[in-house]
Amino acid sequence: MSTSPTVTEGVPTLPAPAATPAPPAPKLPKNPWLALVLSLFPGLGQVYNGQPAKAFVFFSAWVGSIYGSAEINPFPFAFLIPFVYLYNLIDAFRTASLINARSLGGLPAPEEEAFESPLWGGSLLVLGLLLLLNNLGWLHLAALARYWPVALIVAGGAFLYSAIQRRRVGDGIGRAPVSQETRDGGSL
Amino acid sequence: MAAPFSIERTVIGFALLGLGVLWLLANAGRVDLLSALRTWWPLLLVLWGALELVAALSRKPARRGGS
Amino acid sequence: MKASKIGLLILVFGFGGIVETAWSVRQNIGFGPQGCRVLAGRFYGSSFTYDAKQTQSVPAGAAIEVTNAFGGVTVRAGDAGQVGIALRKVVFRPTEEQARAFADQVRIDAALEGNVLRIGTNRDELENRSESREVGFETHFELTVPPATAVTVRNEHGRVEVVDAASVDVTSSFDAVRVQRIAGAARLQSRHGDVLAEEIGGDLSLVARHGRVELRDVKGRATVDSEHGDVSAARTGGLVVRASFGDVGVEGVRGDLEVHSQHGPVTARDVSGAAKIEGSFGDARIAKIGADLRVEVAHGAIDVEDASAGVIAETSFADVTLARVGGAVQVKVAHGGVTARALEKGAQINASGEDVTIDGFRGEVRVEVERGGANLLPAGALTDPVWASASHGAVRLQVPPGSRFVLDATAQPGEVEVDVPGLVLTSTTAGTAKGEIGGGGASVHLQARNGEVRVQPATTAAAKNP
Repeated sequence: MSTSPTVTEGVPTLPAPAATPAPPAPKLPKNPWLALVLSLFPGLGQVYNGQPAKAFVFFSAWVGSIYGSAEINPFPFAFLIPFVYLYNLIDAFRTASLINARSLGGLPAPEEEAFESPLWGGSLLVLGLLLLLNNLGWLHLAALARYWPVALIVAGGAFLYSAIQRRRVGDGIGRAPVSQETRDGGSL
Repeated sequence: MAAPFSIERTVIGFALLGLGVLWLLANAGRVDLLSALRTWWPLLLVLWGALELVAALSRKPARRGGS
Repeated sequence: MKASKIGLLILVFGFGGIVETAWSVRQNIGFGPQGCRVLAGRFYGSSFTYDAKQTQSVPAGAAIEVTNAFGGVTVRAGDAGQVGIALRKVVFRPTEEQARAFADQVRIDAALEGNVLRIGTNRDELENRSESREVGFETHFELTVPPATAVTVRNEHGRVEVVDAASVDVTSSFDAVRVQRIAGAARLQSRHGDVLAEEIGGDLSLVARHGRVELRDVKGRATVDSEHGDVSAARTGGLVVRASFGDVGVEGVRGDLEVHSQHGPVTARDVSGAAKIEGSFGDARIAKIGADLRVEVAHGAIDVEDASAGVIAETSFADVTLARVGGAVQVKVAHGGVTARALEKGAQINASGEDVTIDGFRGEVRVEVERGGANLLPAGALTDPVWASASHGAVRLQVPPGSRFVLDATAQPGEVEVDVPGLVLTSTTAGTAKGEIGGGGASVHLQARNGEVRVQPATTAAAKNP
């Protein structure tokens, strides 16, 4: 590094500072456009993003909606086909972008979802018991089939109850809503 | 707080274990595989539901993050 | 919710769905665990045939029970006091030496348990051995049994034939069943094979899937449950048929007839008792019924001829045709018309979509038609009440000579035309006409909405012969 002043036609000038190399551009872990292109085959983009479970879900939904449309009834399965496909493309691109943003420190890491509501486990348990009792011949679900709208009534009641609970709790007080959707790379 | 064990892996583990036992018994001519599977497969749902229920009832209220 | 949970849910329900479907298919197709192995290629290639014979003494009145798979079973009457068992073994092996070695292991199992002689082979034992599991072999039984023996056969993948037995109970799949000259009751269950039952002295119970059913000369009551196959019955006692996806043809029933058919036409002829026919997506043609007839068809025409007693007919999206009915008639048709001839005891008809035409009727008649007209011609002098109403169609009544009635005709909007010699009009206004003929008598009420009413003299041959 030169320290002596340079004289140019009697006007002293400071030496030009030595050029410092520009910091290297951070290497982003994921390429969102590659994720999108891979998702042209449903689920592959999610595999690229490191989300195998989500990949399985998208692939199953895609195949299931095609099968349902062809073998069961075009309505409503035909409507699901473009929805599932496009959502799979968008999700792959967005998730890759979020992963990149997180790696640059712009977004907080997603908090691991701890537990589901007891209703989830209870529903699985009850459903499993009903099917098991039916298969053992102690229950005849076919005879109860006509009462299936009771499930709608129960679901409606649950929604109403939850809505009333939220009104009572108010904004910012008590726990966060159970069904809040988190937009991150670790969960749906 | 993360769960002490993965419920999904536990369920899959039990499923594979049960399937393997039943298949072995079927190959030995002790059971009819299809009938046994048809009768007992809902136990997977029962087991999964029980694990989820126990985990949910024994948790401390968790603050859910969002982004 | 985590994607892994959803993924596991899909996996568990997918697995459960596959298991339930496979189990349901196996239950409905009717083959046992052995049946799947046909696909494995065990019954192809070179084969060698060997015979074995055995005779077994049996006490009087003993019953025979035969269990077999992958081979036919034929049972005929033979000498009293003994059962002749002939087993033909067909072994699929590359060389004769290998085939003979295997055939020597196939044996007849015949054991008398109480009063039942159970006959079979040691197939289960051979197929459970690892060294013989992959060998294909057929076992064909030909049995001669004492006359008047009760015979039970359980077979799969082989033809079953039972002749000259006291009674018969057959369960079979994937091949034909034939039972003939059975003195008593017959109980037959067959899947994926045709069934022929003839000359049955007692009652017959038959369940068939994916095969044609033929019954002839069944003295007792016959009950048939068939899917995906035609049913043909001739000369039976009382008959009950439940069928789907197949034609039902019945002739010569000495007793009552009951038919429940889906997706297939029904033809019934010469039934001495009452008949009840329910169907869908197939026409019903009935002729010569000795007692009351009730026919209900969805999406199928009804055609009835020569019914001695009353007829109740109901259909939709098709027409009803009646000819020569001796009793009262009740007809309901949605999106179809009615054509009737020679109704002896009157009629009550509701139709929509097409016209109602009755050519030759006696007794009280009530006709209501929407989006169609009513054309009525009595068989003789009109002396019974008639009530006819049509919307968006005309009402036409032909009056034979000698008729006696009081007329009340209305057409709103529309016009009323009355031109019958001897009919005196007591009141006429635009769209209405009242009068009487022959001094009055029964009430004849004709009403048309958006149509005309015409009362004319009869000109057909039927009207000339009161």
